[in-house]
Amino acid sequence: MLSDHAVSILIFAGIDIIMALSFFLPASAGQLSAGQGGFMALGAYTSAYLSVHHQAPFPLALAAGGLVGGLVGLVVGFPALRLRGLYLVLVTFGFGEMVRVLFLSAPAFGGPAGFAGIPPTTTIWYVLGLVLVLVYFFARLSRSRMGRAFAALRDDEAAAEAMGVNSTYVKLAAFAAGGVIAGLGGGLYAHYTLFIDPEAFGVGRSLFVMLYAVFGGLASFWGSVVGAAILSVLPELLRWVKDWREILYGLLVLLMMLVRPQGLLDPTLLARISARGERAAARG
Amino acid sequence: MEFLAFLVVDGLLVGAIYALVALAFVVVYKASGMINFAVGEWMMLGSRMVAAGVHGLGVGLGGGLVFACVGMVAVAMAFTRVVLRQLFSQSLLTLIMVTIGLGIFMRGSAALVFAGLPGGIARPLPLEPLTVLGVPVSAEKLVAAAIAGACIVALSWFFRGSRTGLALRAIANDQQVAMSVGIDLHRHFAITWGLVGVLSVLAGTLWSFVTGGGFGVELLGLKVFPIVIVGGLDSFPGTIVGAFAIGILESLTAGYVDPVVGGGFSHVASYVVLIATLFVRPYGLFGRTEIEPR
Repeated sequence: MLSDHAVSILIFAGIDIIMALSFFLPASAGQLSAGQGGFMALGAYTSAYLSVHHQAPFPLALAAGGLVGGLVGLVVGFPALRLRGLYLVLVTFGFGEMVRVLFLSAPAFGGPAGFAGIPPTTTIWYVLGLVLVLVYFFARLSRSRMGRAFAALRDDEAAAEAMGVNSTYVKLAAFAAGGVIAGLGGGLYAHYTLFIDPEAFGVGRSLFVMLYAVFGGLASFWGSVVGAAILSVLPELLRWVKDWREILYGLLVLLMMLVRPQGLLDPTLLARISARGERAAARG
Repeated sequence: MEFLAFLVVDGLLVGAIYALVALAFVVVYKASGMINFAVGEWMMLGSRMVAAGVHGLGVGLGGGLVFACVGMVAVAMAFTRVVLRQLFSQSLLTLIMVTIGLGIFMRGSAALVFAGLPGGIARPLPLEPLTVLGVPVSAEKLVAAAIAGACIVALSWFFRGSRTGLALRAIANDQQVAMSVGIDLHRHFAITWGLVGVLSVLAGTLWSFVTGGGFGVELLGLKVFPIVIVGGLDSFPGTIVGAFAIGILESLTAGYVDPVVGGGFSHVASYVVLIATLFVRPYGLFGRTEIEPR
């Protein structure tokens, strides 16, 4: 079977995929969030606190983390109703930074020293299971009424409203659902690393999550899956270049934005893949 | 009363350095609508280059500053020529990603290139704390603030009084109209980023003087966001007012609130103000009201 090292790479890649999907969901409704690390922190701390201090069973702790992420997502969604584009990026960025500093100054959660002693309950099956559930969810979502409302809102808000899309409701739903996914990701992360501190969920985390999704392409949720998988495994493959790792990583991002700003999986490529899939299905 | 005066003065002095950083952010936003998420990395690279000039080349502080300015302008030119030129009128998200990618690249290369060199920059002369009208004032902060103030005055003259400044203001106002009257956008974007390079050297060095050095200059970038939102993203006077306001706010909360609720609140206070501003007056105190009311 797989070595422990390989399993750990897979688990972290899975968590990165979950986080990238949590960014993708509001982004598919045109709401860019630069604060997914904040939701992740909420889920991680909530579930860790329940496991350590209340001996909550793991699925319950995980669900609670997701719930808190979702509720706070709803709250953060409100300013989103008034703001767009750049300003929304800034307010969500500020939100992420606030969550980090709040945990930093909360003694009940260990403050800057971090929160330790979390039981090692996250296994590869939980991570893989959640990724599969999310893939199924997103595949269904894109063909559902809500998924179409998301796309309509992203493409043209005024037109979407004219077609009867309730933009308030849809935006809030998108933010809350993104918060739930990020909260779940945070819970899985906490029960795998067994130690969390606020710095793990800072600006760097939020921006990297955004990077994964954009690198893969925002045309489909598969972009987030592929982008996160590639970019989170890549540092492992680049281990041999040592000090050059960060430089190459930065160059890769710049190059990608120059050559393919729409991300790896753009609509043309997606259409080609699905056409091939249909031909194969027709033959077989 | 004396404690209050001390905190306000201290906040004002730090605010002057914040203003330099925030101006480096706003000139880019005004010229090209780009948010520079790597503003902290620019500051870091600027101060590390000065340190490299001082410790590595042994050319002294003045020589180090010149070396770093030349180096950072070269970085800015390379960035605009190789990267930004191809990305003309790309989406907001793409431009954000580019600044993040550049930030990662800068961090990696700084660690590699300046490995083994100390990052701190020694103050040119050790200064005793002063007492002005019974209020103790940190002398190095006073000097840093004076230099920052001079830079702000020079910069505002550059924007108000020079031909290039006029062109930059025209671009900020309307890119298409600016192009139609014959302003070379790419050239002026390059000038803008060159300006960011020089400002990074100055602000990074001053910040190293005040904090004693080297480490954590990147975090200076995080201070920028509350400042520019409070002041208004596209307003120079607003940015300066916002920088002083956030400087004083941080100093006051650090003095009065942190001892009560535990450390760190002074940093979150500015983000609370950021979010409150976005609710009440999303375009900031002095910004243009471009956001549609809903």
